[in-house]
Amino acid sequence: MQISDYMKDEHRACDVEFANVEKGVNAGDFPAAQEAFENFMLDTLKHFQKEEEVLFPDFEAASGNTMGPTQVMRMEHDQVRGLFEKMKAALDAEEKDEFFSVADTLMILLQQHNMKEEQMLYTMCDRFLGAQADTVVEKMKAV
Amino acid sequence: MFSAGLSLDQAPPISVILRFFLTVPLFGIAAGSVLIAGHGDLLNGAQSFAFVSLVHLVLLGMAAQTMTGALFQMLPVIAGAAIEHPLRHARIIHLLLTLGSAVIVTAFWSMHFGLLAAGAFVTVSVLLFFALTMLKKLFAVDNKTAAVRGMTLALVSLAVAALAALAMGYEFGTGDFFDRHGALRQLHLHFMLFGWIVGLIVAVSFQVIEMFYVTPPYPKRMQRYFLAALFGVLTLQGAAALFSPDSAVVLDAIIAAMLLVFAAVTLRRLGQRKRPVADATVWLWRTGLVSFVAAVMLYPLYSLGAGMVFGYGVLAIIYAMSYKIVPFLVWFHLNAKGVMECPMMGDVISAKHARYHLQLYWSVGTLLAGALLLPDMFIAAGALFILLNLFYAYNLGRAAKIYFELKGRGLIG
Repeated sequence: MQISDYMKDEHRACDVEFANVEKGVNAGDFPAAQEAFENFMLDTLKHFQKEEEVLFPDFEAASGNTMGPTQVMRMEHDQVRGLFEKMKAALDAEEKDEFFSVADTLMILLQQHNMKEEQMLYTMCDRFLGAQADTVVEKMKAV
Repeated sequence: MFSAGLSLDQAPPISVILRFFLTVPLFGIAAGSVLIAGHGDLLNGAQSFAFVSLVHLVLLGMAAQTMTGALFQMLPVIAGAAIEHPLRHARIIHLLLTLGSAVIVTAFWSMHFGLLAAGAFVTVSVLLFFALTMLKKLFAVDNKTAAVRGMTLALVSLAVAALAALAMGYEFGTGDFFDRHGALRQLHLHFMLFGWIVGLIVAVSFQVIEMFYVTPPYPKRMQRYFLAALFGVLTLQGAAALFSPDSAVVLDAIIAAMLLVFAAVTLRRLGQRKRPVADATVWLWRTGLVSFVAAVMLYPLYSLGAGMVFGYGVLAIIYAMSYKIVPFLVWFHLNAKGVMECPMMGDVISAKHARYHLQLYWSVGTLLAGALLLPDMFIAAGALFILLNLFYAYNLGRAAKIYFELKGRGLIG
């Protein structure tokens, strides 16, 4: 399996979970939204963990580059983590307008981040780690 | 290789994009004024210089201005490539594009054709410079996704259309019209409308509709072949216009059918989206796409009306994009600077304001539709369009103000 395919599938799966949070809030069902949010947040954080603990270090070792794209991606992961807190606060307070304002910001942040990864970084990972792609994917699945 | 890869420097400063976007409502106000002042003459279509002024205000002053600014932002995200010294490039391109557009429109309005040639020269030069700068980066991209190939074809179309405009500027300036003036005009019109504007909208849609609204992806074959086919038809049509004008007209039907397919597939995608809330931007996209369908339907009966509906659709999509891009960039740049009280997108431009904008735009559309039957209604449409653009300027201006007030309060700098 190509690394890029595996990672892209995870992005799309998280998008669907994100939409489920919005569906809950839109219907005024905050307990359901809280539950969907837990799933979405945990899976997204797990995806970040796979990147930060497996994919990025492997890519950096293979390419000899530690300060370029992976560094920017780590910073954007932190921006996402910050927004998770805001989103949780809006859900706890059951503030619908505030929630959607945070949700919109988070969605665009995630998508422009995903585009950069899918367009550039994963393509480079496929190239540099192509020979060991199966091993890298297995390591990520084990996280 | 990697120094040219992803880095923080790749996100251009926010002022690069804001300068283009903030200029758009000014051309919008001018367009509203032309609707009022030229109301009696607009329905003469291409024979009316008021109409030609209006077309250039909307498609050059508003659409091209926004698309140029947006490309500065999108190139790093979609293509993983960036223009060096973005601020310096943006200053020059914005200044000359704004100046050139204003001169062209003034020249058409006042029928001062020496001025038109000068305006065309400035505008075409800067658009060619912009297109070639972007194309150089796009050609170097390894991973040529549908969006990258689409952006490339859109920019090549821009260059073709601009060169045709230069030749037309020469014609008007000297009064010496080429034998094949009709072919030249068609080259300018079709590459600009369908190659550059529709081409870029399609390329961006392939990337953003699925991801931002969580929809099923566009069919693979469509992503692969649609824009290449459209570009092929335009090229064939350009050649046909030179040698057999009648057959060129036949190809109009293919372009119309393709526009219809794109609008239908995208409308269906928006209907299948998993995000539950249809905010103002979803409705603006729908407005744009439905306008494209209406323009295609109307074209055989009333080409002038079809042209106006098409332009109305383009603007709807321009507004949709900017109501996402501007508030996001304000948040993104403030957050990256470590500003603690960083406002969310809805605090920068509220959902309520975006909705008001949508409602005003629909009202403008209704009045414009009425004006096709009763030209005096262009006065009311123009007045409302001015109001809409004042409101747009207020929303974008407020967003910029928020950014500049808070940017000094960052912990990171």
